[in-house]
Amino acid sequence: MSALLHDVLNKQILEADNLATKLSNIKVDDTTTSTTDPNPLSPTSKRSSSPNSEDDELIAVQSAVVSPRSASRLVSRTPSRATSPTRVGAAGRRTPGRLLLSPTKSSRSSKEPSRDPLKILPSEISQKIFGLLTIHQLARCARVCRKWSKSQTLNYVWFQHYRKENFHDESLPAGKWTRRESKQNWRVTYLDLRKKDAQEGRDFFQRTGFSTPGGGGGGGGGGGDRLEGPSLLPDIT
Amino acid sequence: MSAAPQVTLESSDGEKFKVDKEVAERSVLIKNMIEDVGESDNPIPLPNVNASVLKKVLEYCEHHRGDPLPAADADPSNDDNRKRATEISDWDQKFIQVDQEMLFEIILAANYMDIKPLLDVGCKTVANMIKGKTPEEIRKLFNIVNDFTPEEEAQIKKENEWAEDR
Repeated sequence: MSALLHDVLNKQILEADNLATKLSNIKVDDTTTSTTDPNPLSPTSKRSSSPNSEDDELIAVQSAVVSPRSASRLVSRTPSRATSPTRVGAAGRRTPGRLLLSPTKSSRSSKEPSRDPLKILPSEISQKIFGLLTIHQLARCARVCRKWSKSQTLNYVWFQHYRKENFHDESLPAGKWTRRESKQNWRVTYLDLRKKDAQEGRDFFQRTGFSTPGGGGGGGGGGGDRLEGPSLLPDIT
Repeated sequence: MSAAPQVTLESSDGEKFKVDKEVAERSVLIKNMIEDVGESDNPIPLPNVNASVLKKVLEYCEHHRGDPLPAADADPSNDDNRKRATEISDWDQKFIQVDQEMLFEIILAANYMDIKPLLDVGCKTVANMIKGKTPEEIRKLFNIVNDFTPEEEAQIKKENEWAEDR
């Protein structure tokens, strides 16, 4: 539960950031926040005016987003919806700590356009790019910034790694990526599993029955039981 | 008049480029458009690509005009192709040595115009830029601000231990 709350809060921080950046870009005082946007509580109006401001977009996904508020965006919004208090709270409440940072950030971004590939490029292209990286390098990417560490695009790449190495069928269609999968931190899931294997002196590929294209086949069919274990449960901490 | 059939492409900023049909058809988008509309003297509009980017893209198409069309199943995310990530031909390597903004624009144009080999070259180039870099170097590369708290940073570092200690 605290993990979920954490996600929601982070989402709110991001949104507050976007709003702050936008506002300072059009040079309005903070105090005018509530009057500048004709519909400040509508996430869609905000979103459409700054399409590149957030990358946690939908990626081949029914709903890849984590917070109830974002999820509510996918369905028609009526004030009576159960999720609306959260939604109003997120959009209406500003986070003072983060907003203080915004002048620096926005002056920087107005000086030169963003060069962050996760902001500039559509998710499917970013998936391609980050899919070319090794595990080692991909892990480092999570330490670049919050956006990268929370990115659903990168999470999806980790998910594909996890699948590819745990099911010894390379030709398997891309894993079903639903809201459930998107809630899990696949980097942590993947790395925990590999770490456990290393500690127990077990060969990852043998355990999973995975065989490299050049190497011999491992013990086939070994992967199943363990895969269904705790590792598939949401494990965000 | 040249024997090869030609088509005219029009960039978002109104510049017209007359090129051999064979060259333009490296773009699956244009190929399909020509098939749908039939040959005509009307310029083909490319509202998402400006002249400087289109010029660059056409340079690529011209050089690769005779190449066999790429296999549809060449998925760059599969392991074989990941190993080949650093492999970009010499000409392509030179071609793609542009500033970062142009690189991203070429990638977007290749995606829009559906020129898969060019898109692959662009993606590989960005991946190669990230390779071997520390998080701080990546931030510098893409002008990204480190907005982690020290605690968050320590937490991810701990999670990453297995991958980064090797």
